Amino acid sequence: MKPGGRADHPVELLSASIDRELRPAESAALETHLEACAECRGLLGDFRRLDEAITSEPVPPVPAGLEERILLELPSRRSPAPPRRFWRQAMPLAAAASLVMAVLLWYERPDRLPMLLESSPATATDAVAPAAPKAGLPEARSDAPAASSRSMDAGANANEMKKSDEMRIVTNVPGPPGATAPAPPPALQKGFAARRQAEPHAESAPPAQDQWKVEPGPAPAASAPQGAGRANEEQEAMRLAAQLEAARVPQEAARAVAPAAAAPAAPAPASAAAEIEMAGKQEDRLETDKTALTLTLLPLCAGSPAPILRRGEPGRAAAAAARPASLPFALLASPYAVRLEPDHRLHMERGDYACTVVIDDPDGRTIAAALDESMRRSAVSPVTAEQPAAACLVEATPAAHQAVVRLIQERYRGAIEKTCGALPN
Amino acid sequence: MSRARAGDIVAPAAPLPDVEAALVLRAQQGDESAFALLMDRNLDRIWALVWRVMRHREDTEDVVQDAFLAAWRSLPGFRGDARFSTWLQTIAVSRALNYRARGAERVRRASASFAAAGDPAFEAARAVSGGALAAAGSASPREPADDRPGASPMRLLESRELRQRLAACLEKLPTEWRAILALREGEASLSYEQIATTLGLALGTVRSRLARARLSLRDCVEGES
Repeated sequence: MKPGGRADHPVELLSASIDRELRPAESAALETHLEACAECRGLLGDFRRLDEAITSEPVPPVPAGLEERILLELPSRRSPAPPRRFWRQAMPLAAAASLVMAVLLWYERPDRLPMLLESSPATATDAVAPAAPKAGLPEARSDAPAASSRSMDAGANANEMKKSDEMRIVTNVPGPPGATAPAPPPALQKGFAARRQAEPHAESAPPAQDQWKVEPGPAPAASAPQGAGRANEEQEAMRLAAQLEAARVPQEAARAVAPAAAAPAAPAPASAAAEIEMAGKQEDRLETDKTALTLTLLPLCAGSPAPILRRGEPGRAAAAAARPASLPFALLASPYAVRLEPDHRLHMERGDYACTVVIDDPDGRTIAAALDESMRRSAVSPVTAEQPAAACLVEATPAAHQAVVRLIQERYRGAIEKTCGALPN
Repeated sequence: MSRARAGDIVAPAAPLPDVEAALVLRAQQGDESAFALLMDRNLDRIWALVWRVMRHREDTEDVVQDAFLAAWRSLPGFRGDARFSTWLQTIAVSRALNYRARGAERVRRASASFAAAGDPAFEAARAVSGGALAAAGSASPREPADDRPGASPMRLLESRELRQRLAACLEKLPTEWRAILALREGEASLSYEQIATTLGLALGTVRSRLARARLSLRDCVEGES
């Protein structure tokens, strides 16, 4: 087609036709024209080839570390105070340091007057000066390496967590009207980097909220000493790994293993809700883990231990009645978003990619257990009256993440890819 | 209820917009970890989109970073009228066009490579890009690959040299046309109406620019321009 002759050819229609953006009348007119115009047929073919070539053109990979760099640049929206000049920021620190130095020097003076100290009223310096003369200084100094050591431990933990800290569980649960809730726990407030430095729950769980007692079972990490965090992590990893392995053996054998892991011996329930929840678990665990999880999830996300179900109504029907219209939770196991449906359909998404596969009962238990354990060990952000549809964002454990992703990539990959195409990386 | 067997692919369950909505809500409240997850879900797509507009790795990195930071700042005002990913695309394309308009990339381009360093596919492309770039602008652009008598470059687009010629031709397009092509033919694959909304253009403008962009590309690859 020569440039001079294009005015006679419907280039715009040809272009729109490969995008399926023609109106019916235009489509008919183009068909008629194409029958008589070889040049336009050629141009249409060229446009299609161009289309394919552009679509399949390789794109450079995302540079390593870009995501982290962006996150580091995020200005905090929690501290909206405008930035101050350096000297205005440094002044209070300098003043405080001077004051501390003065007090310390004063303590070291041999001719100081002890009576003056005893009779002086409490001042702001009391907070920084040691309570006992001289004895306080060595203590303060000996604290420094201890603090440094703790900091290094935190760094090591951060590295440890970073390796597999890619899974979150996201839930959307309407809250009860007028529900009041504690402020979001620090682990959710500090952001991505800070969260990796903290033990999942020892620091972040609200200390005295009944919602943390609703879920019976092993002692929650919130009440465990901080040093036990890693041991718990390892135990959990072993338990989930055992479950995953159990899922590979014949189903009958797996049935013998899974309930013991998924429904551990529990202490006496802390509330009526816990009793009901436990009843639901005992009755429904073998039938569907989702029911039990729903019972577990709702009190936690509602920020209140108030019973969701009435006594004597355990089971699937009651749980379904109590469940909000929208399904209450999904796993976000990078790189996939995953949701477990009550009938063991596992729906997964990544961008435009979506596939739903039926999973085995033991595998359902694996995911359910991973979610269950993560719920217990993670800080759950509350639902407030102002934000009734606020999300409960629960950080899953690295072991749970590993178990779920392995399940998808190793056990169901073939079936998924056969029908839905290659899993996105 | 009869249960399907494990491994069966069944009718899709409801999609998971609630995951995105939940994350957006958390991010709007200042939760950086939720925003990190949103970024994780969208980074590949946004990167590809911006790269198709910028066609330069470092510029793409600047724009993508800028776009996500802008999204973070603007999140409190996001009302959910569109999907978050669509909203993010709008920001990214807008930032890319503004970046181009500022001309900052021209300074950088003088000293930076076209290829993505370390990526074998792009290093290989880089090795031949000199010839392809020359071919795209030369009087006889068919020389490198057209060794079959009567074969037109458009019919041989699968060859590496011609792909490089296409890449060079894409670089020569006006940025606005390239943005439309990126939104239509890249990972985004938007409809004309969505492109019009994203770029703030009339529907007819989108249609005519796409046609002109394709015709220009075709002519460039054929060596007619």
